[in-house]
Amino acid sequence: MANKYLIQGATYCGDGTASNEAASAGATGAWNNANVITGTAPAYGSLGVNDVVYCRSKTSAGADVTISTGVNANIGKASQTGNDRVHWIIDGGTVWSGVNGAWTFALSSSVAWTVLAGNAVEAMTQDKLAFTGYAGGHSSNMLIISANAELIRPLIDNTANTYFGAQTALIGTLRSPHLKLKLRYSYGLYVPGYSLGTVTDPDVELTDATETDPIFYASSYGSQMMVYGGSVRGAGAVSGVPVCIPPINQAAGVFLHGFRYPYAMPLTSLSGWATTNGNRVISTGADGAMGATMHQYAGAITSRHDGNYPTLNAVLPDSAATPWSYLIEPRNARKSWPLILPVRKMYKSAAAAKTITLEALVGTQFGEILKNTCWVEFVYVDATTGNTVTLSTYDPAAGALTASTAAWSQTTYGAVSFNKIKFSATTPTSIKQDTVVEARLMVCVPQVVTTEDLLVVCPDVQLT
Amino acid sequence: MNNYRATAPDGTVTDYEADLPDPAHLTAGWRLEEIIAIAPSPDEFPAPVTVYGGRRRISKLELIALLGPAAYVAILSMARESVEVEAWVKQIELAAQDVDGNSISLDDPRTAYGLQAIEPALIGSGAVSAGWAQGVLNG
Repeated sequence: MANKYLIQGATYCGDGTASNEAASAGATGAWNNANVITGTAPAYGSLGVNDVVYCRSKTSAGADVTISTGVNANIGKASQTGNDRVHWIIDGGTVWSGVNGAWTFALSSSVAWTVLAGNAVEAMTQDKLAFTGYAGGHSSNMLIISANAELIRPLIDNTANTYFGAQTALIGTLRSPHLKLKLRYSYGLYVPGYSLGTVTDPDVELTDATETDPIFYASSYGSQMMVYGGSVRGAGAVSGVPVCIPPINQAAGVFLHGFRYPYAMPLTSLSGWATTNGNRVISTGADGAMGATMHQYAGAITSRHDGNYPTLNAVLPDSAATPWSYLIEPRNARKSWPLILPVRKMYKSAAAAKTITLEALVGTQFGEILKNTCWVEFVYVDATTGNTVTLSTYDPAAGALTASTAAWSQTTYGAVSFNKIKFSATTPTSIKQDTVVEARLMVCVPQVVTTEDLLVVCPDVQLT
Repeated sequence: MNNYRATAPDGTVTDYEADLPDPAHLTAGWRLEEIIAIAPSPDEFPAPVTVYGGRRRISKLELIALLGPAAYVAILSMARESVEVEAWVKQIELAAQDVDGNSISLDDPRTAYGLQAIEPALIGSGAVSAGWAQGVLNG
């Protein structure tokens, strides 16, 4: 592993081993042609499989570097194997003091740059490594990040596209990208089949309020997209623009951990889920706090704190003890596709038999919610035997749910009115101290009116 | 000789060739790029223009829209005098609607055959210009 250096446009090509401009061809000094990064062997010296290549961010003459292609083209050293990795760094003034330009990989046709496996390309300064799309009709990928390839602090800008497409295929890793997008009949970032794509701290800028397609997509069998941190902003971050496309093929999923998006943007379009898979799209911390949302074919469950749902007993562990609850939309739930919400509480008291209660609200028009379509399974640890015991409120006779008089903060949510209900069971044996009691809400009936047939659940299980 | 693109503070873009850049383009407010083209420009193989975003299966009405009003009327007129043209028109008319709601495949050889066969007559009548059939088949 060695440090190498590249200065586009220097008079002579050096051996790459030093940051100065070479005094003559092959002398100690930087390489002088950016085509080393696109696969051309340097005229002198060599590129090792684990080298770190510092690229001066401006040419010898002081211009930014723009590399343009009209055919599919590669970035990085080819034929890397195992854990070998060449790390290309667009210097921001560390090696070449006071020089903080930009390298742009541009497209002059409907083609794509591919970052080859075993290569990382990093901009020391955010956005000083840029990928710009074709300013015309781009009908396919504009950028492919291969497995074991990485981009760090890049700007990926597809806003020049006038077609559908110009998306980025991610099979490797994106760290701190600025995704400047116009989502036209397509999506911004997707993971192909049987692949894992990882993104950390993305800054997603949706530039056009009229372009309403989603950002993220796990597009095929076995696609998994993991997003950590980041946020979305811009004119296109508006009501009705989904964050993700429902994954339509088996074993695909998108997981957003700490990615912040406005409440007005749905995680997915619930109407777009297919019956042929058990996939999930999960978001945590979208509200900048501890809220979470899950979408699947059966429906949606969310605890976003900016949803302002009715609340009862549960509070966050914050300084204000902020109340919180879950909103449930059983879009397609049924007994073969149950929508399940498990909530848990630590039982800390001395061993004793208890009545376990889960309080909820149900839309007044949701007549299909009965004891045989919506019930709770309470699970506790027997203090004597140490075994788990399950108690169920399921009643095949389909009776009405038990009314409650709990003091909810409100029994309306927008135009929806709610009835108070509760699910209870008394343990026949003592609950073991310092064990978890779980209340598993099973919702097995679909909405008839999606805007009215809702449930709200207080996650603070009561033990009395 | 190098290719440069200079973007002025007001957004005006100037492309030029020179051994070295204009020093003015290295001053504050300007953005100067050296453009390194590693592959030919797209002029040699431009992306086809499509109406339906590359979709290859379309409805009958969408096909009529692709034909264009002048060609559509001309084809119907020709069908009154030519059994072959009438047969092609009826083929489209009788095409069943598939589960995706569309009836016409732009990749079906019968679609291409009819368009290419009728194109010379339409060009001769002034209803269309050269390249019309390919334009329809682009979708």
